[in-house]
Amino acid sequence: MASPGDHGCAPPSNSMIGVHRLSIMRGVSCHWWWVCRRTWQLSFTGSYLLQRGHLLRQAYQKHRLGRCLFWLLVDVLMGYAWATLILAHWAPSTQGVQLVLGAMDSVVLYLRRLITWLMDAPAGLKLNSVLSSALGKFFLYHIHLWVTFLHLATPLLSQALSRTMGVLSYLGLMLQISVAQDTFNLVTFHVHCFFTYARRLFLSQTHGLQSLWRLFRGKKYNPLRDRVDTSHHDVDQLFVGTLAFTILLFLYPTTLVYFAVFKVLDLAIVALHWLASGLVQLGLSFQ
Amino acid sequence: MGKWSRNLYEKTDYPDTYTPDDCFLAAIHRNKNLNKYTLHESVACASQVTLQFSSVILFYSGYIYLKQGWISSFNLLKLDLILALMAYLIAGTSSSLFGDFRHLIIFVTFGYGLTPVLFKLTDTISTDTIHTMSWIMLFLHLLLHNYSVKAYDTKPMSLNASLFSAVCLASRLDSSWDAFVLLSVAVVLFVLFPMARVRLDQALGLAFVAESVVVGVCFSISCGFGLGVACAMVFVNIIAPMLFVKWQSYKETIHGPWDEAVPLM
Repeated sequence: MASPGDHGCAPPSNSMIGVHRLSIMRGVSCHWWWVCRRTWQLSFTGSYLLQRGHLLRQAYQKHRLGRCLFWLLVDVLMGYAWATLILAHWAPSTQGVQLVLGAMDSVVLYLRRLITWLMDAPAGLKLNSVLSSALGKFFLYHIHLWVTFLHLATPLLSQALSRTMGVLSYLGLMLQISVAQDTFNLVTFHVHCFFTYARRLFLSQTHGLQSLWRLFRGKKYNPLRDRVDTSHHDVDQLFVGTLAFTILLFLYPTTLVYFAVFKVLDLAIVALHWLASGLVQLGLSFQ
Repeated sequence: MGKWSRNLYEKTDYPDTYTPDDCFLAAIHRNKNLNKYTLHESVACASQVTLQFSSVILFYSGYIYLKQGWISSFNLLKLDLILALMAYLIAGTSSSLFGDFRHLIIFVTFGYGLTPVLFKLTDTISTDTIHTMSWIMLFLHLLLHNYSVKAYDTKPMSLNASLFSAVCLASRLDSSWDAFVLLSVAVVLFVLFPMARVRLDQALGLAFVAESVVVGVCFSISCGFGLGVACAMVFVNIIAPMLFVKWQSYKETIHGPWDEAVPLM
């Protein structure tokens, strides 16, 4: 996942400490403040606004505010033109909300179909049927949870979207792109979750296989000298190690396939975000 | 000209490279470290190889018997326990009784606990692939095994290869109990039996009896299999040692002053 927060400018640290002290003095837990702040920095809209504000402040200090405001005006005009174009020729504002929600449903449907396809050993791959179906059920249950959440959130989200749709058309193209990115992130959030689970499983299994392969050859890693040493193992250690090695080895293709599929999905999402963030950065570079 | 002597630190009339004819080749040693083996010795050493080979064959026959349903898994377990007791008595307790008990507990617990995972492990892989893989691993086991008659020390890779093939074959069986029985047969034949085998290097008669029993088991599976195993055993245990003893007379090594210096330890 692209982290848009890293190019956001951090305010000077003494102001942070000031806020920190203030909230302690008020007796309010400052954790909530930090959570809100971090979410704001991590969201595309928030980081865009922070960056824009930073640029405006810089331009004011260098007495170039006029030029900056001119480009901001161009941005707003382009955004208005784009929004009018969309609203006039593609979809009216109520349908736009329906479009986003429909996209959510189709993403969920597509993911469900993909996981069900993976569960019955596709393309002659030597997947372990039991592990594959267990993993599939786990992911399907996660999707079920997500869909429940979506159904709860849909009325609120559609109201919020239809209200902001009108306002957004006056706020500039870059902000529209950032809001679209955030919405897309919310819709595809579970794909990131799946990728994280599959990656964690895959990495743990890979490390286990590596060290058990060393045991298989009668060696072990020596961290003090950063090398692999020959070592003496007991017979029962070898027995348990070989059992674990065989089991992990035969389960490896299943984990690998799940990892690869979710990696590809994640890469596709990251590529889209990369493209959109590139556009926003291009817009911000006109000063 | 003065008398030549073998040192370079004195000025003499001879060139540095000069060596008298009767000095150089006179120092030659032929067959310096030759150790002539008798036929009995070489047969005894070869019987270690055939005994290990027969234990591999016995394991595979156990798999075939279980897979075809020719023997019930309970009877096989009884045979296995008898074999284990015999091997344990012959091998003798090397460590404490408590240590052996601990080994037993670990084998039974992990073996029995993991077999439900094992017997579903290779469902989607074809049986031929599994058989080929386990044969390769058993061959690797024989190749890397420690056949020394002096003292038995486990070679990790050899033991692991045999256990790997045991897990592969156990995963083709029909129930998890069968898989556990086959795994315990593998533990007895590949872990316990080599310790007893070292003690049997002088008891050639016993080894021959054991090997003929194994050949009989092979014949009961199929004639071709039994014939192949019998031929291999006769070749390794009788013909190869005879050839080795006969061809020892062709051995000729020469050592002399041209050799690299070897430090005497």
